Amino acid sequence: MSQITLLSSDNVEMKVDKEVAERSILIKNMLEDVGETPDQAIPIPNVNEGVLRKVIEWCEHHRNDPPPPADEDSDSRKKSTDIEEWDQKFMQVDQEMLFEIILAANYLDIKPLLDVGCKTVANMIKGKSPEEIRKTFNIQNDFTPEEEDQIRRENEWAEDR
Amino acid sequence: MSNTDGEPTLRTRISTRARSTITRICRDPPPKRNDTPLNFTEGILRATPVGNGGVYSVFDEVQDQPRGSRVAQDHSDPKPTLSIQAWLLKFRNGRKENQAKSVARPHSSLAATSGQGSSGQSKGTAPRSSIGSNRRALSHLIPSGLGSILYGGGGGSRHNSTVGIDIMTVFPTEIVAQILSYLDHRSLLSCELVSRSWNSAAVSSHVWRRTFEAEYGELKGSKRYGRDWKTIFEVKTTLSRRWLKGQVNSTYLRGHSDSVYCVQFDEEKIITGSRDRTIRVWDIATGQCLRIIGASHDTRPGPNGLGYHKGSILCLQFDDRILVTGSSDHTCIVYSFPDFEPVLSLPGHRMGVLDVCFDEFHIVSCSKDTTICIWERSTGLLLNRLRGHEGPVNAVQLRGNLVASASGDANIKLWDIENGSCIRTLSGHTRGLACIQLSEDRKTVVSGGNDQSIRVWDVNSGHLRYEIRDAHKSLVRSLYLDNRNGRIVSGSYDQSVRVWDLKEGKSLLNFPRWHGSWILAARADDRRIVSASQDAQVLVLDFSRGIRGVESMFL
Repeated sequence: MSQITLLSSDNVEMKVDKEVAERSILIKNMLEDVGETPDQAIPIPNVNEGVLRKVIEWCEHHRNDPPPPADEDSDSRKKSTDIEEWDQKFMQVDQEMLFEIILAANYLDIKPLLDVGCKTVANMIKGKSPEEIRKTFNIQNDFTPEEEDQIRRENEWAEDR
Repeated sequence: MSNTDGEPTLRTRISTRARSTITRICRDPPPKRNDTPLNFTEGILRATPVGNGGVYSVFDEVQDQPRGSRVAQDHSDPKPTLSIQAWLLKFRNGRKENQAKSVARPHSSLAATSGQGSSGQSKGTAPRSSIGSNRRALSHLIPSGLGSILYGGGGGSRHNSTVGIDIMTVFPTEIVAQILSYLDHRSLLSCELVSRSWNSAAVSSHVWRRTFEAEYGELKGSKRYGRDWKTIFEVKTTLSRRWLKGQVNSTYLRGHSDSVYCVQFDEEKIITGSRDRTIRVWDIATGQCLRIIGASHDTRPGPNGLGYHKGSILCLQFDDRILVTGSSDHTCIVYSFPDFEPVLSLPGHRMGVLDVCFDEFHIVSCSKDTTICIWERSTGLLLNRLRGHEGPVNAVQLRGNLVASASGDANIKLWDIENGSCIRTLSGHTRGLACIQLSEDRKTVVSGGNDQSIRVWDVNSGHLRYEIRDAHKSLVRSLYLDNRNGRIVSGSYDQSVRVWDLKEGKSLLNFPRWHGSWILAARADDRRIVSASQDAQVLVLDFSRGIRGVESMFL
């Protein structure tokens, strides 16, 4: 199994199996482009060491996953609750790390990881009141009471009458 | 990595740095999957040097940091990292590092990120620099290895101890949209009330389309893009509620001079056939009769010298190209749209044609003569005649290669249209059958007749799934199966139209005596039930009238 070296934004080198690194479409395309296994470290300028290690950990675990379905709108995307157990545990990190993983997955083009990350955030929102959401994400309500009333009125159709 | 420990400003300094990591990732969207080497080159051409303070200024403003030498120092990385593109270029060309050093990440997407930050961040971020960034700072100070342990072994408890971060300030629009698209509609409506930036993200039509499809399934036969999916969701919700409560607006279409035997409609028109030997086309929006087709009103011979029916119009079906009718004069006639010119006559039955249906290739008709005829749609050629019923065949339906028929002999038969063989006979009804429906997925058959019951069958096993006993107080004359909405609509000689839940056969709605006589036909779509009666009238029950934005759902 050939290995490649990744270089985090804070200049830490990490050796990974090529197969694992290729869960990232960005890296996969790049390696295909180069056409040989590079002997120098590949810089990942947007991802620091801690985040990159987490991302690699995920890629290691999912190294043998079948490719995701090509159809963007397949059913798997529709339900936010179905995250497999290992991924749920994996995503039990603080918000900042979670968000950095999502951004790194987006940057590195690891769609299944991006999906799991987004689902995790969605589950943090699901079923909550506006005030509970504000608390979760430390948000200040910048609406005037009038604006709030207006939005509530516009959405009255959703109330059971 | 060097640092000056104990400095009071360290936390915020690191926080700024951590945040800039996030922002930087925002700024560099992943390249398209089919990126070509050419694109890489373009990126490099547009790139600017790292030292440009302008790149970071947006960020500093967001953090309410004074801009000064401290911040500037923060960004002068001792070993500037190369972008992947630059690295690739370097690797390919084998150039010296100092050449590549001048190549930095493009900042073309900066504008979008800064726009997001300025909209919702100013108030929300202020308290954040304390606890959350403290831990953050730690992870950045640890040289290697430990950072991942710090994060990796954390477990769920860590969630609660953290001061939250507003996702609207962290993620680009696409990621926010993806997160929100996993939400149910109630959660989305909650999001609208969180803050202004959340509001504008949560009303996105893209997000609501996903939510609509997750909760209601796909909207049949309509385009997805460029539509107001939040309004469509609202319309659908209101509509569902009205179906539950039976809130309808009724319109009677008057014009036929005798029993109306058959009806079909789409979003524009209703077409009915009557014992008065005419076919009428009605404007569904206004209820106006647009056109009368039939011997007594239109004496022109068709272009092929074909005339019109010389008896009652007993059955009909149309699509966007043709209309086919069956008559007590023993024939079917095929008319072309939009002129309703008769183009084919199908003689072959020896008695009245009681029901007709067609698909792309075949027309199937059934008759009082106990047979079913299969015709070639394009030529009108009689391809096959299915024999097996021992009484008049009152109803027939075609789905794929499967034909389902219901007869006065109380039996249901399933046929293979290709070879004309009878695949299965479903027995159980105690008296003659009047009507049958075969679901689009060919898994379910619904039947009704003189024993006043409605039965739902499993096509694969041939077993009865359930029976609605005494569904009506008289003969069940007409059935319509709306698989997508999970409804069965029935019309009976007891003068009532009823709606049933397909899953268990539970009674949902009852419209008794809205007609003055027998119901002969009833059909439904997402928002209407249209029924035809012996009283010569057609009744339109509209569940959607007056709903705000209703037309946006039914384009």
